[in-house]
Amino acid sequence: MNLEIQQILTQAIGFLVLLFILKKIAWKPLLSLLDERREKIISEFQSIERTKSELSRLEQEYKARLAEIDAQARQKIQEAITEGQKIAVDVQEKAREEAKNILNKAKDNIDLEIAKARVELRNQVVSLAIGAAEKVIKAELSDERHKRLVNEFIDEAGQLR
Amino acid sequence: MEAANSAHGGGAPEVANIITLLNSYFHESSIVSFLHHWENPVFSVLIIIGLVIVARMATKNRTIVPGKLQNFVEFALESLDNLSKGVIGHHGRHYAPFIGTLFIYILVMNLSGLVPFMKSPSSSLNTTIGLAVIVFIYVQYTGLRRLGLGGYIFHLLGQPRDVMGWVFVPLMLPLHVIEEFIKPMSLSLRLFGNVFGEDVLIGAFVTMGIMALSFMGSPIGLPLQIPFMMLAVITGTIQALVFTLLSTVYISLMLPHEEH
Repeated sequence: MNLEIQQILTQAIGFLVLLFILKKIAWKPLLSLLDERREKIISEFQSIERTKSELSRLEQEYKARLAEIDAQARQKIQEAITEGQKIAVDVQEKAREEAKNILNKAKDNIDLEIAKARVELRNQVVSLAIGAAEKVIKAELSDERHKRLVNEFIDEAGQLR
Repeated sequence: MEAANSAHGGGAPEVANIITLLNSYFHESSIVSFLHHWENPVFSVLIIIGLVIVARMATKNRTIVPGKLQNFVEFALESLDNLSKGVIGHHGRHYAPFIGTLFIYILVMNLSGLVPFMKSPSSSLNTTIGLAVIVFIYVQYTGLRRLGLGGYIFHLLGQPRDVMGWVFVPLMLPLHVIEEFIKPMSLSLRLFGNVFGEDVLIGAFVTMGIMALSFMGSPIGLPLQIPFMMLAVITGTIQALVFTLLSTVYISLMLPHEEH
């Protein structure tokens, strides 16, 4: 094995050339890429964390809002029920009133009919009585006496009432 | 594949590669003998081109969600970046390209000896010394740049903080200076010795495999080298890591002490 300064220098320069090229095309770009990737991963994880907490915040918010809506709905239903019951009571009241009115009017009508019938009955009784009396006493009564008798009868009939 | 084993140059037997094959058939050709002489740099250049092509393919259409190749290269680069940061500290990222490229280059050089018709350039002392020289210069340059000239000299004096420190300066200074030169020497010798030894071991077992079947005129030998190729994968990786890790430590020792 013989040492040769030219070979030593050639090998040294060979290494320097390799170092220069690899530094340029591999070391610098790849190491910066690795750093970039590391930072990217870290920031992705951070953003995932942020999104997660944001999501849970939103979930809470929506839950609260849903509960609120639920409560409001329940309250509205309650109000509607109360209102309905009130209306039902009103309607019943009114119906009862109307029925009473109708009943009263019917009673009045009946009374009126009764009065009318009574007047007609009296008139018929009067003319029947007059006819009968006329037949019975036609011969013996004078006109004057006849009139007096009729008037008495009428008065009696009037008192009859 | 390793049937054409050659003990070239009368030295230790290494498994033949494409250039030693060419050399044994076209010995007269001046191009072949030039290639044969520059064998290791030629394979280094092939490896460099291969690495650049892979890097280019991995990063050509890079996306935030990586494909298979990009993912693999990213994984390798990130691991080396982490190694550099682990040893040096915050400023590790600055040195990661140097350290990482060193590791990848040495690893591929060590393992390329296992590819048929290829050779490990790091089984030559010329290659490992070349790398160690670069590391030496880079470490000294880093020291000068980070500590300043005064700080650098202060570092070589052993950072004396009290009277005893200054008394020991005449002892510490030569020790530190020698240490700085011993570091790259040990780096290069260790890497060379391991890879070369492994290659020779494989070569020897290939020869033995061929000899074992030569009595029946078999064109291929027994694959006795396979366990040692497995071993070579392990040692090749470990040696690449050792070279790189020690270089990283040398760099970090040069940095201001608050930083590490």
